Amino acid sequence: MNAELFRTEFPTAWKLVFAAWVIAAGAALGALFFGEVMQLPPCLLCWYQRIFMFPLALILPLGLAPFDPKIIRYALPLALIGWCIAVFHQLLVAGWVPKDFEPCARGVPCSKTVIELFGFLTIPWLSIAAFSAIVILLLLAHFRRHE
Amino acid sequence: MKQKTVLLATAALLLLVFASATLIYKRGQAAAAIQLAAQHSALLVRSHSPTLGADNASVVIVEFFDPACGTCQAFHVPLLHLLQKHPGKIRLVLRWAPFQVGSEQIVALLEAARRQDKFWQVLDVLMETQDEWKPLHEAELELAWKHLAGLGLDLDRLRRDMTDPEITSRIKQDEDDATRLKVDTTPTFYVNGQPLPGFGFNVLTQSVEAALRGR
Repeated sequence: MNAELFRTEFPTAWKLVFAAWVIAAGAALGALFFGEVMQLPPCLLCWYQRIFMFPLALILPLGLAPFDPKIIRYALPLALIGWCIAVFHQLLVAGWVPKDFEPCARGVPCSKTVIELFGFLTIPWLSIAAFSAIVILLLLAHFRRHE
Repeated sequence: MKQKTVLLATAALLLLVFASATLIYKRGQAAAAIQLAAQHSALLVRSHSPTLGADNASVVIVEFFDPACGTCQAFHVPLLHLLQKHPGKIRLVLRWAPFQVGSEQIVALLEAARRQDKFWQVLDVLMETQDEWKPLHEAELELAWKHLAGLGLDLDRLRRDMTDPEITSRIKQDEDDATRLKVDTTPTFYVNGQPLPGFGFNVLTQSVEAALRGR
């Protein structure tokens, strides 16, 4: 009985979108921690990724209570574009993008590594991981929205 | 209803984690700053620095200062009042941290004015007129120059002295010391060798008053 109630209250798609929101909110707060607490100035590409991550942290919960599956439609483009920028950023760091393409003429160069956790985890990688997870979760939610 | 509860609880949890992490990080930073200042105490005061107040004052304020920085300007007059409020008890030592664009030129101007014993007069004038010589957030020497008339300066000598190697190397020394002390914002204050526990004029006043009480 309780299990049944749980399923109607929290359908699979809801749980998937909820997980996407937790990641988006964690990423947004993490970015604020790097920028405002640790005082690491964000580079230009970081700003573009923030532009696509911060709204996810706000609009995803609005589609969760009450649950509105249309939220996937509104959130997915943000996550996909953010993912593209994050991948471009990592390619730039790895040196695969020709220097002429580098958009940071002034301020903090995007290719400079400012943080390395556990010896390999850089901020662009964290961003790719977060955007990838959000895209996958939202796609799964899309296909299971009628369950 | 239950959905909302789960959302609110999660949001609260995330914010709590953020706040705790911030608190822990800031504490660590404060402790590291105190340690760094203690390790490099010799770098804090150089004999070449401009100072104000009695030599035997019990409280020494070291300020890493940028004449083109808006917050330094905002602190300037209140800081002088603080010194006047406790005559003979506080000494102010200025260290150069010309982080703003063009401000090294202004520092050179101030150092050159020092040779004509007009340092504090020129500093007062430059602080009053900062908005006028810093259009578009970049310090412009020629605009600052216009405000020097009437101070009784030998302007030709002033311009010559600005490029004097001794002045250049003093500024360089201060910049190097700032780097080693990890001073990256202005104004940065040290009261009797201790970094401030936070930022703001009230924090500075409290630290100075605590030091005056001998704590």
